[in-house]
Amino acid sequence: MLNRRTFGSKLAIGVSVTIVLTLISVITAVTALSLVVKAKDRVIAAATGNLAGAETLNRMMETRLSDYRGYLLYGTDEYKQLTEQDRTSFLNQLEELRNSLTDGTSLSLLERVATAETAHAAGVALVMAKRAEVNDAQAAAQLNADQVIPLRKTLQSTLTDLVARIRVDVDNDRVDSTEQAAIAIWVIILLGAVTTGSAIVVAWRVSRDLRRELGAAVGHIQSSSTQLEAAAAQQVNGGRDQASAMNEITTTISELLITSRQISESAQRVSKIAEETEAAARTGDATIDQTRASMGAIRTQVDQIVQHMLALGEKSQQIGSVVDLVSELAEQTNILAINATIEASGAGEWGRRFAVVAEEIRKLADRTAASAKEIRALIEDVRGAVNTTVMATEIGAKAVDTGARQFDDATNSFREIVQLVSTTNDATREIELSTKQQTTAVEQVNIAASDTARVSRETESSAVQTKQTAAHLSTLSGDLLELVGTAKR
Amino acid sequence: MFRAGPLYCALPLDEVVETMRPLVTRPLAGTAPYVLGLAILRGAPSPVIDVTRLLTGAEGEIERYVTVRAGRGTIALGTGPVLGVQEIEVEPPEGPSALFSGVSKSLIAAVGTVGDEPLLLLHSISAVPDEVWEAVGDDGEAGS
Repeated sequence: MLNRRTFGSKLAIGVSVTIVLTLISVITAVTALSLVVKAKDRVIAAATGNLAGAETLNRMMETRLSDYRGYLLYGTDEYKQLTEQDRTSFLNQLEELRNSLTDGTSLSLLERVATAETAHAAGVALVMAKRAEVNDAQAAAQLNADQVIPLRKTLQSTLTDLVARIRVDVDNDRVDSTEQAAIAIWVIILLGAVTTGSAIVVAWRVSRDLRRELGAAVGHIQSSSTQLEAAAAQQVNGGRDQASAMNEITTTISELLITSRQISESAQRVSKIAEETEAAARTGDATIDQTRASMGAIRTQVDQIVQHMLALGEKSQQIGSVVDLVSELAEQTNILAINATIEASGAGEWGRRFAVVAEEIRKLADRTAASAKEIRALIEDVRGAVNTTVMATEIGAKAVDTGARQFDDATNSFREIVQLVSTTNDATREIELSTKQQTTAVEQVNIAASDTARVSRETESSAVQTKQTAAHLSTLSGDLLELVGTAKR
Repeated sequence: MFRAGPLYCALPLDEVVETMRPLVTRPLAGTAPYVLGLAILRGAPSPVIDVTRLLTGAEGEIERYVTVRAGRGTIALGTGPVLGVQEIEVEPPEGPSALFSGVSKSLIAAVGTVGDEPLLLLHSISAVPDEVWEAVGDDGEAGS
């Protein structure tokens, strides 16, 4: 049943049993001492009161006899009064003794003493009256010898018996008290032995349980302390590594904070540039409108140039027709002049003169044909140039159209760029704001990381203290195991 | 005097009838390559000879027809540009022209120069094959 209780309960029960037994022993000892003291007080009271009172009666009797004898010798009133006072004192002492005595035999002896004293007092009074009457000491002595001495001896004998009886009572009381004291001593010894045995049993049981349970518990504490020390060592290493890592993190976050601030400044500059770009783009929008108007005017001018060139081409073609006609006429003239020369060759002198004229006509026709050919070449050059110009102009017009369309596309793109620049500006402002928030967040993270690093260092310090405490606890566990006697040898 | 491809050529004036632009010419099958065909000259069919091909064997651009009197009638010579009527100086056939033979010997009467270029004086245009004359005759008869 005790095995289920805790060590404290066992110790409390053992100590309680020991305390109860000790209290019983103490109460018993006190009671016995009280009884012994009462017995001894009674013995002492009997010895000091009754025995001394009896002895006092005997001594007062002797004093009364001496005073009586003085009166018998001298017959003076002084001795007479002393004798009477002695008897009064004797009677008072007798009365006190009667009140203090409890033993029946002693009381009867005391009554016999009172009776003897009364008889003795009567004899004494008679003798003293006789002494006063005769005034003769001898006669009084004779009367005393006859009347009083037997009474005196009876009284003294009775007193002696009383003293002896009281002495016997005192001795009996002393023996009784001594027996009670011995009984009390034995009872106290017995209770002390029981208490001592109980204490020994409790101490043995507690010591056994202490060695068994507390030793096991302390052993567990020691092993746990060892494990705790190992864990604390690992925690120290972990805390040191964590502190180192947190320092690196703090350093990295500091660099990140610097970078974030640089990004924030760059975002501010980008935002400013974006605003300037947006303003420039809006200015460029007006320029684009002016350029579009200029391109429209160029397109109109190009169309007019094309029309003029086409008209010039038509005029050149008309000139070419005229030149062809001239060339045809020159060729016909050439043929006619040659044929005229041929015909004139057979017509004598007049024929030769006509031939000269015909030859001149042929030469004029050749020059005309050559000039017409040159004009034709020039006209072809002009037409070629006109065609080239028209084609170039049309290409230019198409280029202008294409340029206008591309310019429209560019304008649309430019407006999209303006919108995108505006959007970019907004985005840049958001980026700037976000970067500022990010910078603030990074600062907070930096503070938190610094706090964490500090906590890591504190944790490392605490782990070191824990390790030291665990080592100290392990040592204490070993010491405690040695104290409880279950240390491993 | 006229050009026939790269050559300067000349005809005696008394053999020449007239010059004209090239007319519509109908080719004739089975004739020599230098015979271009038949053309209607002054209402009569006449054979047309490509002088450049006849003299050089190569094709040349025909710019003028020069009609001449031949043995069996008038023929048209397809030539290059007609340069005019002028007097020329030529050497007799015993000179360099002695190297010619065949058709060239019967066609070239003398050889001269025009500046640095050679000049061939042509005569007795008889290079037209008989079958051509026969065809002309058939056409003439058919046309008449």
